[in-house]
Amino acid sequence: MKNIDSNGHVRGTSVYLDDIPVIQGTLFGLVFDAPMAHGSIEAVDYSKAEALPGVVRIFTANDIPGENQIGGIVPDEPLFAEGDIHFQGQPIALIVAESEHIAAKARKLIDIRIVEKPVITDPREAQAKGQLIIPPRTFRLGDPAAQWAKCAHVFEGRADSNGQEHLYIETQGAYAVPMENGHIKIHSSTQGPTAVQRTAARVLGVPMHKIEVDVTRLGGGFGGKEDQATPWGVMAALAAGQLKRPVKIALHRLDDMRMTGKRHPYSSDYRIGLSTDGKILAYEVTFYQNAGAAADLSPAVMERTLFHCTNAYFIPHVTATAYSCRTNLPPNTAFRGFGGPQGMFAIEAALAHAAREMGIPKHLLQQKNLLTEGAEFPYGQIAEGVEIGKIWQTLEAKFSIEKTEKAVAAFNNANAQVKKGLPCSPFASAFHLQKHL
Amino acid sequence: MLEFMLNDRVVRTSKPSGSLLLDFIRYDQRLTGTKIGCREGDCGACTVLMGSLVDGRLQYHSATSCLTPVGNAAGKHIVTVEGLNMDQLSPVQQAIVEEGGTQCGFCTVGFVLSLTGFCLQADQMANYPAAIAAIDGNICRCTGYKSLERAAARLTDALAARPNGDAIAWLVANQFLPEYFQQVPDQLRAMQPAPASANGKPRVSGGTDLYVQQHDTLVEQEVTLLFDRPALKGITVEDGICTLGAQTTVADMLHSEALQTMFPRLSEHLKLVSSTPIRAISTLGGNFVNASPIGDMTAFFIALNAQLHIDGPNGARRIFLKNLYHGYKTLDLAPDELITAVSFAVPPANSRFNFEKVSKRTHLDIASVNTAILIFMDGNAIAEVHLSAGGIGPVPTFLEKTCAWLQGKELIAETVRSAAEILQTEISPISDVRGAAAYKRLLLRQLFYAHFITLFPETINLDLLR
Ligand SMILES: Cc1cc2nc3c(=O)[nH]c(=O)nc-3n(C[C@H](O)[C@H](O)[C@H](O)COP(=O)(O)OP(=O)(O)OC[C@H]3O[C@@H](n4cnc5c(N)ncnc54)[C@H](O)[C@@H]3O)c2cc1C
Ligand code: FES
Ligand code: FES
Repeated sequence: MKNIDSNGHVRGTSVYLDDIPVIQGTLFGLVFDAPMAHGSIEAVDYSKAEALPGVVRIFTANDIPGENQIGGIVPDEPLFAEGDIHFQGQPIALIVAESEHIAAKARKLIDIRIVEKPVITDPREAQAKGQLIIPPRTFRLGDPAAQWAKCAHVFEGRADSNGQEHLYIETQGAYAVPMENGHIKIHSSTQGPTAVQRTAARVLGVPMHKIEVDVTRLGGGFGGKEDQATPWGVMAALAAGQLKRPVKIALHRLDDMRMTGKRHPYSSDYRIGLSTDGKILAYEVTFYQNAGAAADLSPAVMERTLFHCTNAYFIPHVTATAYSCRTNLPPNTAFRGFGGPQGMFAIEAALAHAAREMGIPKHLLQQKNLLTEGAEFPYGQIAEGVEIGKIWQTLEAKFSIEKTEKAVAAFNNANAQVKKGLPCSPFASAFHLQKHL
Repeated sequence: MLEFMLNDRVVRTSKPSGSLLLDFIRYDQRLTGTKIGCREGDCGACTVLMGSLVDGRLQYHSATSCLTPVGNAAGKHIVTVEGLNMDQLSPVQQAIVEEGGTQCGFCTVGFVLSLTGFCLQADQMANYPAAIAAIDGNICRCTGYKSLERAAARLTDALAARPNGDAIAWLVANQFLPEYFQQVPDQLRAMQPAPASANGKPRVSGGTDLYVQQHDTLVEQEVTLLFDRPALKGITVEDGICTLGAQTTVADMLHSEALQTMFPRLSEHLKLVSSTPIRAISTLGGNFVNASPIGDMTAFFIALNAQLHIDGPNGARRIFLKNLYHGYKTLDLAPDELITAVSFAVPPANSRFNFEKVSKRTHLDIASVNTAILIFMDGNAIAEVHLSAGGIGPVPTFLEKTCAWLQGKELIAETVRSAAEILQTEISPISDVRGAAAYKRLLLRQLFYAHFITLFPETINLDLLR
């Protein structure tokens, strides 16, 4: 499949946010953010920064005509922090200046006094302290509790998967231009134009039709610009609307990495029970999702973890519980897979654990438990048109896992310093199933 | 007034010499094909080609324009994608399109420039590993690289017919490059010589350390440019002494036949240092004076027992590189002193040299721990050792005790094991993002073993050291 924009891309003529011709009189915005992860703001002194020639204005929560609220699913995230800060990198103010360079200098002149509060970064600690974004959810199929006694093998363990930076090569940004009749046009590098529009209207206190959002293209997003492109678009619109001048914000890479959320780290407990011949009879899993300081898309990501908790396997008895835990990290967000990989990681870790203890190759356990026609998922969906068994056989015939594993073992025997491994995992995507829910 | 060629025309600017080439290209000239991904040399989105006449012949290398002061462009030919575009796509552009090597497209121009740079390397074999090496400074988050690797393979095939020597004529004839490249040498010759830069402060060489650390202040200033000073360039060997000008780049070392002969695995060592576009602009003087505890070239030259040639208002002097560092970023170098060269005795036939580095990523990453060693043998006895390591203390370190202890010992596994224990007593690593202190201790021990396993495979192996 060819990307229809390929020619423009290789010739460098495709127009990304920072390539839009700058309108005369454009001002540049830079975000002043929290220097620590948790605390209450005692005082902020902007006077030195405001006095710097070329600084036009510094916007804070006090300058918001509408609501200081950007939370999409749960209204728990201010555009600019007021009172308390909840993560390092949380926006507190927007410095608007004649150039980005001046704004960067001004930022160094801002004095802030914060009384620090205890920081939580571990989702289990947050859960224990009742710091949850939404109430927990459980998916159930059958009755695992009644099965453990019948299982020939039961294994318990913990699986941790860490965060991941999106690193879209084009950083976050927006360019807001005041139009006629109090309308504002926002060019945004966003995966969610409606979110930018709706939120800008909410913060500016204007009806949605007054905000137009234009997205020509993105230099990568991977989920990182689904919800988290919004604040920059809204800030630029706020400043442009009040100053009646175009305002551009293009984040420096370090600001972007500090201020935006990543893939959700998860810590999970599993318990898996199998028959003597390796059939999975029961599975219990508890997910502690590290949501960061605000909901963002975490509830939806958490649900997707639950949808994927048995991956491509049929397990007759399942209990899967997920906690979305509030910590003092930047709000974690969508990232390729949207919680699915974290769900699959736990079951794959459980299977690896079982295979190791039972002394059977993991791929045999995997193959034995693949979904079959008519199998039920823990959320009630009945699998139809199941091809995974056939796919597995086709691939097995083509690549032979056993032969490859032998080659890997031979290599590892012969090489003391360099080692190889062979990962192998099926994958079931539940995206197409959503209509059944 | 700075003057240089930007694509097909000569440009002049009165911007401060310390302002960045990237900003000049994008915002003064509105050539927006060159992108900004990081402003720290890490992503390659801002890659341009820099051409200059070397011995009368036009030579190009890729460079990150985000770290290059515009002053370093003076008298050169700067090529952006706009200077490569023709009516038809070039074979580089075509290969990327046809192999699906572009998705969001933000990284793409950087790849086009790096791969065109590869096509221009006339003295090097146009082989697949060289094509892949040419894009070692470019990050793509969309494609997963396989499509770009196929594009690189396609180009390698297309270049099989390219003659060595005057690559440009062939590349123009085969529509890799626009016509105007043929006139560039004459235009460069006709250009005003670059004005001697102010002898004030700060002094900038390649800029690859300075602009990461002090971007905001440097971009508004006239700076003292060191990079192109002829007196600070060049690699010579005379009377058994090899002397490198302080502004020798890592790429200059890589291409030096003299050094390749002295260090047969030079390219293996140096490909662990930064990336192709950074190696082309990062200098030895910069690496030494930046005084990072994990400076790779510093570790390399300490093990060669290299001397620095220093010039200043009070005359010239020489010191051993290993004695340059008093403490974290404090140097035996006055602010008005300049390092002019570094020299070392050419390792004799009875000596062996090795360099090892471990970082979180294999390429384009700063070392967790690095180390280099030069060993002189006398039969089966160790006559003399120079061992250095970085990442295990506040400064790049010469491991004096270990070296002294090894002297005169028989080369057997037991000796190496005992020396590794002494090694542990003269290092003081701290835990940081590159690893816990205990991990760095373990790493250095393993890398120390690796020196011996690599240099003396006939006597030492991992099993014997266990
Ligand atoms: C993406 C990236 C990757 C990197 N990877 C590596 C790596 O793998 N290994 C590694 O070791 N380093 C790495 N570096 C760091 C850097 O490239 C090197 O330290 C380089 O050698 C610095 O040289 P420069 O010419 O760019 O120095 P500059 O930044 O121009 O200068 C550094 C300092 O040296 C001073 N200086 C330069 N020459 C002289 C002289 N002759 N006399 C007195 N003072 C002088 C300057 O005034 C300045 O204070 C990396 C940097 C980047 C951006
Ligand atoms: S912008 Fe990333 S290397 Fe220059
Ligand atoms: S195509 Fe998107 S980063 Fe390479």
